[in-house]
Amino acid sequence: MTPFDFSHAPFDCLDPAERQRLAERVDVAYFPKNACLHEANSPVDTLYVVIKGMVSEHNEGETLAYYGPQDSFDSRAMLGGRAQHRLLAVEDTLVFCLPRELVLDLTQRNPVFGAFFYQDVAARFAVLANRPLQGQLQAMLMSRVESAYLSRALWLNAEDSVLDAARLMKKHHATCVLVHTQNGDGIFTRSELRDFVISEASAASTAVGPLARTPLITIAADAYLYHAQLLMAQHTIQRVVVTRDAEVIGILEQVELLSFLSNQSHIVLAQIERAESIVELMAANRSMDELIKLLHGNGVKVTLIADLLCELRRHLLGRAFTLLAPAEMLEHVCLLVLGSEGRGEQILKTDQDNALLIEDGYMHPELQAICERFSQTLLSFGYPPCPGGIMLNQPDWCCELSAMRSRLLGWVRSANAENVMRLAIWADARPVAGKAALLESVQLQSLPELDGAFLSRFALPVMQFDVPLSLFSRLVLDAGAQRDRLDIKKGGIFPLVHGIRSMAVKAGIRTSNTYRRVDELLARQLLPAELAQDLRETLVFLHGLRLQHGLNTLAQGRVPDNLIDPAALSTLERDLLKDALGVVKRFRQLIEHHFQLARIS
Amino acid sequence: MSLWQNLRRWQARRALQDERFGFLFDQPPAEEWISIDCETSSLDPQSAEILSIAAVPVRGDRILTSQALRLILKPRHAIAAQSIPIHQLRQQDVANGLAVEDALSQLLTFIGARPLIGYYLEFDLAVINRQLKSWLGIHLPNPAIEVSGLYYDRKVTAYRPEVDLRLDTILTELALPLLPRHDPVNDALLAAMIFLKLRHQHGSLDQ
Repeated sequence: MTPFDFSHAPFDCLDPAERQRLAERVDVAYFPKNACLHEANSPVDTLYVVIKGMVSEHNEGETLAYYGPQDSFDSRAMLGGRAQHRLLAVEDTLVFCLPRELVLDLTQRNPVFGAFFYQDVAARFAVLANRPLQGQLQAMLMSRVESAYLSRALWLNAEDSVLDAARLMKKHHATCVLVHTQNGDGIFTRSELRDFVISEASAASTAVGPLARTPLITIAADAYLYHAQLLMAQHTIQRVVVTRDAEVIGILEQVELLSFLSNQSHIVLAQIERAESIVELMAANRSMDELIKLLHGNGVKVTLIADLLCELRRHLLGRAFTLLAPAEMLEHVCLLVLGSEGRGEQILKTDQDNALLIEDGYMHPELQAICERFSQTLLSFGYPPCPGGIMLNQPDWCCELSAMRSRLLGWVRSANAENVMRLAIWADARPVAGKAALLESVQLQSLPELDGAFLSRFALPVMQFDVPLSLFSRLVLDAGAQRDRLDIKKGGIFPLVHGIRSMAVKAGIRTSNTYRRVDELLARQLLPAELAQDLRETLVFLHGLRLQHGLNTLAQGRVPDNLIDPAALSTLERDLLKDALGVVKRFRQLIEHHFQLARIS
Repeated sequence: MSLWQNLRRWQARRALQDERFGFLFDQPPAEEWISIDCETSSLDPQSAEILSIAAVPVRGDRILTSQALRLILKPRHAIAAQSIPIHQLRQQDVANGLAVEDALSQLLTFIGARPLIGYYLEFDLAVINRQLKSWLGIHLPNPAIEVSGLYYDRKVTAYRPEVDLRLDTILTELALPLLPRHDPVNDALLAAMIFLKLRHQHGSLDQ
């Protein structure tokens, strides 16, 4: 029996024998408040797991992270054997101490356990503002090194010159060359080349041999990819040399490793395009969920994930409709996605917002039934029905062009809050299947009567919710049952998206994605460059925070909401959130002025 | 250490009947303690027999659970039925246990001259000493640190002379984790945690 708690990740994946080995080596340490666990650059022989209390990680006065009960840290220092940052006990803290060599040994023996540390380290490598997350383990991490793209190994002899090396690297667009030296084979990379240039020695007359780093850090072609990542982390290098039967067969670059992981999207895309039944689509749908976690867990930027996922989802929805509807019908109808799905900013699944446009005069006896089946299919894919009933199985959102046009005009003429929201969702429409040209004549921007009075009423919802940031730049927490949360959608994302949407509609910009709208507004000099940049970055940050929150909530088996708990954020994230909300506030004032909202509100 | 304590120690040293255990009277290493906990066959110190002993070393601020000593003893008499649910050691669990003298011999070698830490240590020491007296002619000479005593000293005031000394209360008050109880290693670990926490709050308590 041991006091160590094996019920938390990553220790829950150890088998009984491994648990026994670990349990026998666990110690407990006590750190009174403000005690230092280790200084930056000091050697580390321990992985800590917090029992009770809290520890903070510091870098030059900045707090990078907090570790609370059950958190294990510092994986990177443990792998490297040397602390990167200073660790302090925020309060009286008890920790389990696990010996480094034993944990390293377990990462080698138990791939699932090892992958946890790989993910943690990968997450730490990613830029701070990208908000990476410790995702679950994915099958892709278990791919073999040889399945990733390997660069060709280029060889030189020790007596060849640095100039030869530089020329060879240029010729093959390589980042390194391998060198046969007296001390065995070595590697000469761009960083050695840079250091050489700084030394101002002559490239033509200096031999490359003594400059090459030995020994080579190698990995077997049939090793797991995450081992390669661990190896890079351990040695803080960007590439490893891949061998098979002790022969060098190529070089794995860190960039390639990460892009290998994101390239899994092509596989999902092929899966969608090949699907011949809804059941096959279902499998692709599941792969997409995994892909999100994987990409985010590896620190891929939120905008990239959103672009990728929206593209995949567009194909998925289009394919689903194509499988359900007869080919002939697709010539006469157009399936639209609306709202955030239409803007291409939805990463996690959200309510179904969609509509079907029908050519005037076209009739098909099955149409109604097909729409119903489509909505049911989406439901089975995990898209809940739209609470506002904006779905193509509702008669309002499945109608002939002329009917839709007169309904839209009716909403424009009586632009009350409800109708404005309908028009806002419509403004983001994007065709995903059928005859895309049908949308053009009924796009919001192509309707007449979009005068100043209407545009003001259209923009008014920007002022609907207060930005949860006080005069003194403190976060205002008034959302959720306990009123201790911050609604990131109402308070941040919505005012930005709707403000930009209003400006885009006014300018007649037809693209639906918010980032593209900002680009267009900037190109037409309707937004100052600096503000455009702030808006883009703020939106990336807020979307990232929402994705992280959503994935966390999903992992706990709950339905994602928009209610962020600022106490759960790191100091850095909280500061970024304040900055982001500051931008929202400024932008809101601009919109208020631009559309003269003070007049009508 | 007072003259009186020195005298007692000197007397005990002379009373020791087995020179192999002379190390008990050596100078203990600095900043080291042993937290101990026993499970016994009954709650009467005059007749209780030791069923299991756990001894966990503490060095500085580190509790070395990885080096813990755990011993199962074979009692001469039947285990009191009402104590079995508490320590969960049944007759068959201790059937292959060590004889008392073998176990105590291992324990003494393990703890050496280090001070002992425990919760209601008095009872455990009374049971151990009863056995030790008849075998070696001495009681354990090691300084004993009663963690509930440390806690009492800290909590008691003239206005509030009664202090709740239940283990769960102490752990909660000191914001320490409530580990599963009545596993001797866990109990010894808890006592060690209380010791470390109070030691820092009090300044030096190492005798």
